[in-house]
Amino acid sequence: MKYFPLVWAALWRKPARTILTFLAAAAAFTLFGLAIGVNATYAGFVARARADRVYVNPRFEGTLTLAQASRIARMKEVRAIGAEDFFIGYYRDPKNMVVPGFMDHGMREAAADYPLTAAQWDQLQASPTGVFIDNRTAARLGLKPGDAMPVLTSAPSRRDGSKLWPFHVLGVVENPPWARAGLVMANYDYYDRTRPLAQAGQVGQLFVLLQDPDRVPGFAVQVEGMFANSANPAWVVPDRIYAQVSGLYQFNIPLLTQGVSAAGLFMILFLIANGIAQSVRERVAEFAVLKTLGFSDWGVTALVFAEAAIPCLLGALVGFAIAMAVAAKIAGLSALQKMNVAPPTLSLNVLAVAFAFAALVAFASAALPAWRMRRLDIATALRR
Amino acid sequence: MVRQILAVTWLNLKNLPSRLWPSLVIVTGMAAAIGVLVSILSLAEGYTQMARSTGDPGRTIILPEGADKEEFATLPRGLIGDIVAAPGIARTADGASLADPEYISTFHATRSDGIVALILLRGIGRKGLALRPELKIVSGRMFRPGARELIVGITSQNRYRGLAVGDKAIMQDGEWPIVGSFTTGGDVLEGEMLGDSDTLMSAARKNAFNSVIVRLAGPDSLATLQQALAARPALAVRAERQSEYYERTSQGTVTFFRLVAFAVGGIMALGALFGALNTMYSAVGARTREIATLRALGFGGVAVAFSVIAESILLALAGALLGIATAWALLNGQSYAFAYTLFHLTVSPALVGIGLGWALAVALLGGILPAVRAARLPVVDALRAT
Repeated sequence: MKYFPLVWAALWRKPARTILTFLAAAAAFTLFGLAIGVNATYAGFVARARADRVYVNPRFEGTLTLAQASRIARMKEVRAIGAEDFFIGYYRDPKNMVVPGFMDHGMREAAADYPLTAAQWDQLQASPTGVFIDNRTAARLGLKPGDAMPVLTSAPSRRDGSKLWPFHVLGVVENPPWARAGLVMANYDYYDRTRPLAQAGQVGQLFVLLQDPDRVPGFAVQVEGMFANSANPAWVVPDRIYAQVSGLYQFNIPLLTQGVSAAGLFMILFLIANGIAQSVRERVAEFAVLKTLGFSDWGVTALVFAEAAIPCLLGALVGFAIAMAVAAKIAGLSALQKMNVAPPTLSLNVLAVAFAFAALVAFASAALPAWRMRRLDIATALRR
Repeated sequence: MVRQILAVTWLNLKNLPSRLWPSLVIVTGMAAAIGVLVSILSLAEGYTQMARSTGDPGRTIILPEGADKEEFATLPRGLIGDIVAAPGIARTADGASLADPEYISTFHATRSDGIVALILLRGIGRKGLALRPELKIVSGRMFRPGARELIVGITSQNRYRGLAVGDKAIMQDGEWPIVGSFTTGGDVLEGEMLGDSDTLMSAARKNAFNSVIVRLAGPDSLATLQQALAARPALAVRAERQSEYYERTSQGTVTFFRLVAFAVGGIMALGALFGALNTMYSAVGARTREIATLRALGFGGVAVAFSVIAESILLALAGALLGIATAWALLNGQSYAFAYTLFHLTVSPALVGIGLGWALAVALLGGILPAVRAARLPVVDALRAT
């Protein structure tokens, strides 16, 4: 720390160069922070996926049935099971698409990650036409608790032949990051007894919690086999796998974000390496004096490294702060919401990774000049 | 004046190799920034071209009111007769409408990493082929009407396992042979599978189509068709030019890709700009004595300034071309899946233009301030510079 003034003076010998280097590093690390942050968001979805949960879906176009749900519920490895169905409709204008998810009582436990409290689950089960919506949906449709929310479907979907579902809003809940496109949570029992008799008992998806996560592969094989020759073959998807391919579907997030961050680092690597090489070349005599005064080889190495590291690390810090500000801003962009894109997560972990890479870039760019200064022949250098 | 500019610029560029490493800062910075910009834009470009080549303005898609996409639409069989009888639809020699009710479902395809992905399985009817002259069988044969057979688009076939001609696809009612593969010249259908609509619907025990595709009788027939359909509110359907349908449905995805490309490319370009400023300032610094000498010999400040900007432009364009070439070599023509739509990444001439344009802008911004400094160097002091 004692030698900090030395490094500081070296940095401010050419202020324009130092400031521009710092700005370029800040830009690169803004991008780095955003890219790694997006990666962290999606890695978080995968990590949060429950190892003991699987989804049972129809294997083909079609549905599953409540009868299948109760057969699965009787299996000894099943701890909880919930059923969900949905339809696609619109509120007031065909542009306002609404997809109500009808959830049965089992969803309370099997889908505990849905943003409803125990009291709200009670309310949902007790109210036939009541729905809970998230704040994004509320903002998009201009709805508040207590409002009527009639939803029209394109196909006749009620037992009475009507296409209009007279929902009302029980409450508005916080939007969870895994459902950027919005949530409408409705009552399955009401839906099931109101739609045409021929469709009664159909469900779109089952949420199953197993006693033991290790049983997931065996359970999948067993359930798929159990219904393979039935009228409603099933397809079992573990929550982990689902998290990996949902959101942006097959969009390769790690590859994209790694490519972008690598390009950003590559850009500043040359810049910083060139700057530090130039700076050291211009001050050969100064380093010779330092060595004459008794600075060790390692001391000189450390000075060169510090001179490269300071703009890098400061750039990483400022870039991270800018990335945080950008992330907060883009979270509300409708273009991203429409694509169900979650904003980047800028956690301390991401900051640590940014610092690590900043140090790496500084080290890589300072290595050659530092090595030269270690091997510096004092007598010749002093004459320059 | 022009001769002066040329002379000074030439002299400067001849000396460029002596400043090789600093110059590489601009080249690598621009290569990274423009490479990333063009790479991400190639997603938007590929998606747009795929959508554009699918949408034939002579074709119209009829969807139920309130359904904005084919995949989510339901048209009960009972409505089809009335829809295809509407005026404005082209007719064949025997008087039948050139219209095809189509059924859409999904098929579980297995990626090379073993993960199951959904692709669209489209049921087409007797007029489905006549409506799509662009569809060509490249291997095997067309499925027979009424038979439990499928054909696969070449993009899907290359991307997923088990979709080769001769393979069997697992369907509700057993295994269906894949009897052929087809190309449509790069449109959305190449990522789909096709089968006979009635056979597919009976296997799925469905009695509703998703859409009706029709060929218009003439360029102005859309209005006729729309009026005729609007006059029957019980049908509750609307007709939209197929080109507009694909334009509309691809818009969100394309806007998203562009937004990401310009945001990421913009931040990278800003970083590259700081790098360029740095390099050009140090280039002017390194040339101090040379510039002063030139000025003393009577060369004008403008000529000197111009030589600085020319250097910056040359380096930036070289970097941009390097970045574009890399993006092209790595990405152009690769198939990409977004939800269940397959398309090819495309580095088009337009993208090359955008990339070079950005590079030019960065070069000018990064060159002007150092150029002004070069032009204003006090000659007497600068001659003494070391």
